[in-house]
Amino acid sequence: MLQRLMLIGSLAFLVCMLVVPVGATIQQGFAPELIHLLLSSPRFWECLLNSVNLAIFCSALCICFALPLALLTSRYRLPMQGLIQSITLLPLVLPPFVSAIGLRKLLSRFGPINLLLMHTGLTDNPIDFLGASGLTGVAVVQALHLYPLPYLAITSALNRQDSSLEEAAALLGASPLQRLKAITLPLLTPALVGSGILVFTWSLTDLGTPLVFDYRSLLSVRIFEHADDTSGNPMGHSLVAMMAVLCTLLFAISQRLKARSPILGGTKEGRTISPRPLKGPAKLLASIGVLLFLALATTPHLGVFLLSIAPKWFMTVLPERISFAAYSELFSHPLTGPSIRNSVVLSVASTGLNLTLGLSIAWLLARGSAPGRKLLDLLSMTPLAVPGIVLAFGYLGIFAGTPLDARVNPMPLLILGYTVRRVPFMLRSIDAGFAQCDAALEEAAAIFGAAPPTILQRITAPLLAPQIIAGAILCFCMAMLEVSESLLLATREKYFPISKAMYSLLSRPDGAAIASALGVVTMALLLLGFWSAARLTRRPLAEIFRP
Amino acid sequence: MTIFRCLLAVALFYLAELQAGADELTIISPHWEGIRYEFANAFSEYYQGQYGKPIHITWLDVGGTSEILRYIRSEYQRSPSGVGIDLLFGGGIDPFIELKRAALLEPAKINLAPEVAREVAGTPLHDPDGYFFAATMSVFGIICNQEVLRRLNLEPPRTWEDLGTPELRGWIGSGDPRRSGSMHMAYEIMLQAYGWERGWQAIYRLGANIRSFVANSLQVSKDVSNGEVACGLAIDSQASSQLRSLEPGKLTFTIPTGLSVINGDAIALLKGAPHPDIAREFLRFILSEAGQRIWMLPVGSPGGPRSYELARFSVLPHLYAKVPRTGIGLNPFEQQSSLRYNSTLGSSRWGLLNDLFGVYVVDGQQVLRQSIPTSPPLPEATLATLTAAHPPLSPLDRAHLIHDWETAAYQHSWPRLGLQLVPTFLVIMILFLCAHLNRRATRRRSTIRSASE
Repeated sequence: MLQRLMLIGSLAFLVCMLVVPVGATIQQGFAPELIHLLLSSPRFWECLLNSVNLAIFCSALCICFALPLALLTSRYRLPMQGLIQSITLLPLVLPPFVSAIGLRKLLSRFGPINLLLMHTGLTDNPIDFLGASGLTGVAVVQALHLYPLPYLAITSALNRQDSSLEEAAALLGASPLQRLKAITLPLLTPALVGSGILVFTWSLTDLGTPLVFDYRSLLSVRIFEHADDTSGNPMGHSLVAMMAVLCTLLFAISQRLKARSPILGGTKEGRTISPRPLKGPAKLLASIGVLLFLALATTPHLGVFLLSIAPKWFMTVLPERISFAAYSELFSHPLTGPSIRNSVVLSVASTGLNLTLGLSIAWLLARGSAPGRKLLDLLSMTPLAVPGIVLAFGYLGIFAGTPLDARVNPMPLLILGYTVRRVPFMLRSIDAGFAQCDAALEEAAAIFGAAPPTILQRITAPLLAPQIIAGAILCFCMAMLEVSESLLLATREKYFPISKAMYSLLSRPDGAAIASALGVVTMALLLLGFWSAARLTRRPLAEIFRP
Repeated sequence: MTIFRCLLAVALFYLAELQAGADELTIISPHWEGIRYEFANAFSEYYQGQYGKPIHITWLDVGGTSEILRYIRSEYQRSPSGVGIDLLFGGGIDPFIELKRAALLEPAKINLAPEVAREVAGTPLHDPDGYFFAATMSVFGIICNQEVLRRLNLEPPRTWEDLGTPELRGWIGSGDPRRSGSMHMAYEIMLQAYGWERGWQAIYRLGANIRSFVANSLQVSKDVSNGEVACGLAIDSQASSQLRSLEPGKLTFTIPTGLSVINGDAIALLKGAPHPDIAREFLRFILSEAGQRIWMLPVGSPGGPRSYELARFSVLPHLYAKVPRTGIGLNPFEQQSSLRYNSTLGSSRWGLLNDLFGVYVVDGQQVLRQSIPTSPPLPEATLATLTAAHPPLSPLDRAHLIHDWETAAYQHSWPRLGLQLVPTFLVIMILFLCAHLNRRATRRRSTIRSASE
């Protein structure tokens, strides 16, 4: 009975908050006349191809960053290994649109870096880093944000690899390069492709970065432009439908690949390869390479930090004056103070909802026997394929005029929207916990006469606790800096979450400093969150992030 | 446990919202937050003094002027009698004319004090029927970074057409006219100042030079100040927000002589305003000397703004002699503009012109960079017929129209699209190659296995 209720409840939630809004938008968008207009418009094709190219460029960059870094850090012992590994994960905590603010300042044509180059006489004319097209800038910023995902995936795949394969190859006389080509890389293919598709989808649907770079010829930006004009121009729905189709396709491909790829050499029993120390010039070279890359990866963060302490910075290499006034203003400011409060309320509420949902779904899937679990499993993984922008677009349309209208008060919808998007992450985290804790223990307790609540309290809860806490922290962090739903749904200032407040502050004459300070503070907060999540589970974050 | 605590937090949050219980006013505005903050503060003090009650002002932020217009229209389509918003504050004059024509404004019926200016440089400031009033004014011009121009060895541009010289390719900043009202006005002014044909030539050339069309018009002035672009389109207040923190001469603001206008920046009651009396009180306050001082005075001076310097023009001519001037230090009532700006024309074609700019200039920038078309996208008369169409164009008609324009503007860009397909092809090839190698490796493995067995 309880099972049936839980099943119906979870299914009803997912149907109401996910299937219906997205379905309604897609259905409106698939009107034959609109689709015909869309498909025969060169502008649509330009945006679509731009979006796809951006995603390709971004994924390729990510792999280029992550692969050598992962090989170096997991095969060799480098100086300051721990520090390097934690800095590597740093970009994940800063939403790319915040790093874009910093990068845009540092890299502008008469920005600090160009001025430094010109002062030292390295160049006469400013280098156009951001590029006139803007696509390069967007791709680099996204890649610098996302490379930890392939990095984590590759590292964990490398750590699972059986050392006997490489040893055998070495005994047979294969050079390191040959071993890499014939053994390591083929074994890494599933990790590479899986994380590549994840990055691809993320970059395809990202809204914040292109907006800060003012790069308009992308599907996601066009959807954003149409979001406030749904009654004036019906094309928005079609664009959303196209985006949804694209993402579903990618998701299906990644699921198929995951199902097909045999885990070769990934034995749990086999010995793993322990890192070897590097010697002499190789050590120096590797260290310099890693350090240079890390400097590049942390440049946006540095830029954001410098902006937050520079009230005046006109065409000089370093800020003319330094002041921490923006930080003290942060809590008294009419926009930032409430936005921090809003974000905390939203994140706490959505994390709570996520916990309830995640626990009941995971329990149903792992221990339950009610029919319809397959459907539940499928539905609860679908949010991975639905970009926030599509979901928010659907919410705007379907809940207009109801008590949930986002234009009156976006908080309930934001909570629900945040919750829906994080269901898979929470579920995966708790599911891993259930997989680790043997059902036999619970059965044994039941045989000895323990009532279900006692079993939950004495056995299941303690065993699951680390996973639950890690999942909750992750959900909380992601909700704190959610971008696309927040930008679309929150229109009244008093309900602005942090990301919308930052976006709005950027349009103020002197808002850059406060927006950057807000970015730095949330960055610190999230860093703490991820760090504690990793500590609690004693498990690489890759497991949580993998699709 | 956690869940209950969350629910409790949410409940407490809403309770806190409910218990306020003060008089309320909802204002939708494209004005930046400093303006909102200062006027909310000053008005609540005034209201408390007048009625002994607190007032709670809610600001709605949906983006720039064009976004606000779209938002208001779609909201009225949903509930024609009223949308729960009292005032529209800011956005120039043209949007207000258009909203009045669409019968979405409520007559304010307040008496203007005699000292409030009725016109500036020959352009009327307020609606003759009392639907909207200019709360402040803006003048349109060009902001330049002299440092960058010097390094590039370029002459500072003086007119809109100067911005289109090929030497400035990629060095001009502009906002997206579809999103920002001030940017839309700048382009409309060019069309009216030069005439339709020459105006479109100027816009095409300028469009080809623009680095990127930014969503927020203030970003243009920031980009000029950052040295990302050399010159940009701006109104006085946007420019002065960057000018004031720097030594004079580094950044300059030029008003093209005889080719620009000084325009009112209005405020009006929306149809079905839930609190019309308080809204009228807000109007009276903003047009009074106490309200107008906030635009002009420096921060902290008595009767001036509390935290933000607004540096905008007052509509009270006598105030310019009385108080120290902030901003670009110009008295608009002493300006003689030879351009007679036609607001009725500008407002009636606002939406369609935006679609046209969008297709041919903003989205069509790539095409412009390759070659400048010799004629306007369509004759002025055709646009006039379209704007006067009765009944007005339906959303689907609009989608069709935009589609037709896009097809015309991009007719030569299909080959370029083919080029853009190259990365996709490459990736598919690589994936196929990987799959092929994988299959071969599997086959070889199974051969070895069967051989060893």
